[in-house]
Amino acid sequence: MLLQLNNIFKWVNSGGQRIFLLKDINLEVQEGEFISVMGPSGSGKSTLLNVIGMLDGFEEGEYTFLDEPVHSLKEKHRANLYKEYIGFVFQQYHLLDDLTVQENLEMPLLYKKIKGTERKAMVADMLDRFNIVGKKDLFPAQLSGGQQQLVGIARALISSPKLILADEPTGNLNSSQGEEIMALFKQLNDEGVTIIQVTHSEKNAAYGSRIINLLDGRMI
Amino acid sequence: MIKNYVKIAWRNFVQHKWYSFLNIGGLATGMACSILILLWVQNESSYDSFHANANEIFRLTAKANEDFHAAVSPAGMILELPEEMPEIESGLLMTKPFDALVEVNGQKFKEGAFYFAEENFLDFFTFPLIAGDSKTAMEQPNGILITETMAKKYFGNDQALGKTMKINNEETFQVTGVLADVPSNSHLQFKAILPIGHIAKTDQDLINKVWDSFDYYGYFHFEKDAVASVEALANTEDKINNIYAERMPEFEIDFSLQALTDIHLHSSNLQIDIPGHGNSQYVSIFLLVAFIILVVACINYMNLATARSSRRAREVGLRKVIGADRRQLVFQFLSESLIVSFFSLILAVGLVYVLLPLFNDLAQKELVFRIGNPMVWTTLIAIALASGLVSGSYPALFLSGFKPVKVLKGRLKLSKHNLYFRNGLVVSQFAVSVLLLVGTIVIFKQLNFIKDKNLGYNKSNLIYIPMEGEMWGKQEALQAALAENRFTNDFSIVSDLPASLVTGDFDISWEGKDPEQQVLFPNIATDENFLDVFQMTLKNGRGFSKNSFENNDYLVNETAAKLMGMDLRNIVGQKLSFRGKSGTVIGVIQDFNFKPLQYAIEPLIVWHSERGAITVVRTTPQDTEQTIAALEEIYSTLNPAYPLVYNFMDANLDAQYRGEQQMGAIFNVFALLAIFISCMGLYGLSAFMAEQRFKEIGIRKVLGASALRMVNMLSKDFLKLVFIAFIVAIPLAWYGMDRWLQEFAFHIEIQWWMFVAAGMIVLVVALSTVSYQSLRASLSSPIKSLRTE
Ligand SMILES: Nc1ncnc2c1ncn2[C@@H]1O[C@H](COP(=O)(O)OP(=O)(O)OP(=O)(O)O)[C@@H](O)[C@H]1O
Ligand SMILES: [Mg+2]
Repeated sequence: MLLQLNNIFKWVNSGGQRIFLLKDINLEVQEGEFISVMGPSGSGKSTLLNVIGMLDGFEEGEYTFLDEPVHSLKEKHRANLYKEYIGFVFQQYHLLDDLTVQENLEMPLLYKKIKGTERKAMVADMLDRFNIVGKKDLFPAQLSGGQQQLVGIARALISSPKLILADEPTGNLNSSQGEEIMALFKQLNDEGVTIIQVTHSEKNAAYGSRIINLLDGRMI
Repeated sequence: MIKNYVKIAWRNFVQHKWYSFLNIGGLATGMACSILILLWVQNESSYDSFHANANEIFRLTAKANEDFHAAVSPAGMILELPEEMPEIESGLLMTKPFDALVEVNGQKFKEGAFYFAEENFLDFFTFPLIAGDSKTAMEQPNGILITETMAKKYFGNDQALGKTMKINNEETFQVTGVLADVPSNSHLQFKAILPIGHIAKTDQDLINKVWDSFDYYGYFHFEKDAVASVEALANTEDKINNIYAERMPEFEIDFSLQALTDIHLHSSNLQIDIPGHGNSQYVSIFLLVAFIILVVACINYMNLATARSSRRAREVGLRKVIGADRRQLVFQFLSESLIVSFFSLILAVGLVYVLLPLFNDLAQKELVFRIGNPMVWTTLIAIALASGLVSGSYPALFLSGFKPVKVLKGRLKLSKHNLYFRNGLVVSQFAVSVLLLVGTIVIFKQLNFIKDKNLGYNKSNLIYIPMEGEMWGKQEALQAALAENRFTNDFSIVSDLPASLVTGDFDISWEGKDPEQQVLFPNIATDENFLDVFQMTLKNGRGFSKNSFENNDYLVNETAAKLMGMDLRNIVGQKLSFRGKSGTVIGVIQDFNFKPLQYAIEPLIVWHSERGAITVVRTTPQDTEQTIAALEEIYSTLNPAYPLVYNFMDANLDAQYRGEQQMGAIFNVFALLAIFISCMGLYGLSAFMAEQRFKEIGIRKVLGASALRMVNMLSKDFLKLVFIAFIVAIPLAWYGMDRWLQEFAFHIEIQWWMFVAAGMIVLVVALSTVSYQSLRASLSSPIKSLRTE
């Protein structure tokens, strides 16, 4: 088992009132699964993904990741866990504007303190695999949306995470670009990477092995 | 990783050229200013430390009362004290500096700054000889030690040693030594040193080794233990005072020892001192200014960095998402600001090299900037490190704390905290600007006040000529000649100018004087024209007549009358004995300033004399040239050996405040620079604020708001900040400037309009900077601004 959420509640206080963003979420994810999260806008999909990705906290409940109790871990420990096992892909790509494609890919490795030669090799590998060797010295602004998303995924993959979290990765792309990305996810999943994606599209959701539906912060 | 940071910093730099220019330009200017000021401070604090025994050498000073503390002491005391105190290793007596007419091979020049000194001068101080034998150089009574520059001037490239110089047209001296030029950081600035042996046979003070006439500078070299601690020094001083009290029971003088290295900066309360001293207060003021400038420059950086924080926040969020931990981010931001600060430092060093000659002109210094000197480069690196860390700290700590989700979700809403902090920074910058401007205004007004102050006499159009050579013996002929010419007939002959009077006598008594009372009376001897020529006001009685000296007639000033316990009316006719000669007070002169305005007016005695040391002639602006021509003729006939040396009274008075003028000039320059740096920061900040509100501006414009309305909207925030800064700055400025003004017995009062003026200037500058930005933003096409999201 990769991770487990037990009775997760998340809320914010606004004007003396508690607004629930997540209500009583119970979820178990096995290694190698490909899960699609669906639901209407504002139903809490991104919130859930962020909680799973440890980018956001929660108020109540237990979260176990690879047998580690995330809810009671120290910030630093949690960051290490995250650095080691999780990769994020966003709808808005979120590349570092001031860095070239190559440097964007290199960054996570720098933060993991991986040695220079090894780093260079891993980046070269990734560029090769995603067929973007020719673009390695370009800045994000010089790429198309689809290409940027490819770089985003490559960056998420470069430190070989066990889990990829993708929040509407194809939301800003046209359908053929989207299909390309989904095919890529499928292939990664076949190689053993666990994937959780948020999507509005039934077609994309079908790539997954399981669909979770959210409504008003509750799983249905 | 560092390489990566440098790369990113460089790209940021290139991509945001304007922003980087503001940042680095501001920081470099600030650093350059600070470096220049520190060089100046270093030079001021280094005076006399080049002497081998600098820490064991002290100068004896004498305090007669609270108002009169003098740098001089009696000749006999200086000569005999070492015999009575075993802890004194050696003593050195020097005369006051004097001017001399030097003649070599028919060439004549008037030179200043000659001193007589005891034979051990070369041993005592560390002034190296470059020619001559230091053991025998001072033995010959008609020997003379001259500086290298003097030697060049009179003997060119010839060997100066052994050559002769005629001094004051009478005596011939032989050069027994050539001294290396006096370091600029020596409180003694001389052109020549003559052995005291030359006057030992003629000077009454030296012959009789008197202990009651204060006329010489006395330096003592103590054993280490005698001056090692504050207590030891106090003990030594007590011992000196006891010796004096035993010897001179009728006097009550408080002697103290002034460290050689303190003379330059800590002598502003001392009278009868060698001219050209600095002032420790100015050193503190400038240190503070240097610090303020650096802080202002750092604030710029912080301001601009936090203003950009919404942009940077996204980056932080992203980096966290791809695995950066907080420490790594803090490190990144700090290295960025350190890169900027070290880059600025390099520029600053270049600037210092370029600006140093200008600064030297301004400060009348010969500062050199030696980057290889360990102290210099460690200081420079410390400055860069400090400013890099300080300016990077806020963005580093603040930005690295962002939660990635919050940031990535969309535009970061800057917290109130951030806004407060930034406003705080802006307020402190404005406050500093107001503070410095108030300082500029007060200093300007005070210096003008000094220049224009009614001294109690009319200082304009007075020409004075010191007696020299044969003229001393021809005073009657001189008077006759002056009286005959219509351009010079308004003249007076006096013993001293009422400018920085150094005389003072205790030997005064009158009926009803408390015998215990010990009062020092400055005094001037004048002829009967004194009051008319100087245009002084007589409050009561009459001035001197031709034969006043026979009757021992005296004039006193109002302060003296008050001190003697009398009023304007009953003082006239009062019996008074001065220097053992009893006579009558015949008139009271309205108080006038006869010392620099730092000093309050003291009691003054004016006595009548037929002879004097200085001729003063009143002229008119139209007649000045003819008057000088007439004087030229009279003097060349009566005293052909000497060229006529004349000066103007008002120029002499102005020269007394050269230190203040200089300090004012330096202060103004740096205050303006600090304000300029603040403006640069403000300009950048408003540019970013306008950019941030670009979209808002666009929408409002589409909705039909006018440009003016939008400028108003953007400027309103700044107005509030200026106002707060103004309130903060008032007490600080008032306190600081009041303390400076207290140095002057005569000073302006700080007035409310000075604050208002400073506030208005800052307001206008701030508003125009901000409005320019907002106007630019609001005038640009709304479509463009809406599209850039
Ligand atoms: N900090 C917050 N304070 C208040 N409400 C919040 C906060 N964060 C999220 N929400 C609310 O929580 C709900 C869920 O947001 P979330 O971003 O998870 O929705 P989503 O399902 O991803 O929607 P979309 O499909 O539009 O991306 C929304 O109604 C949102 O307004
Ligand atoms: Mg969402």
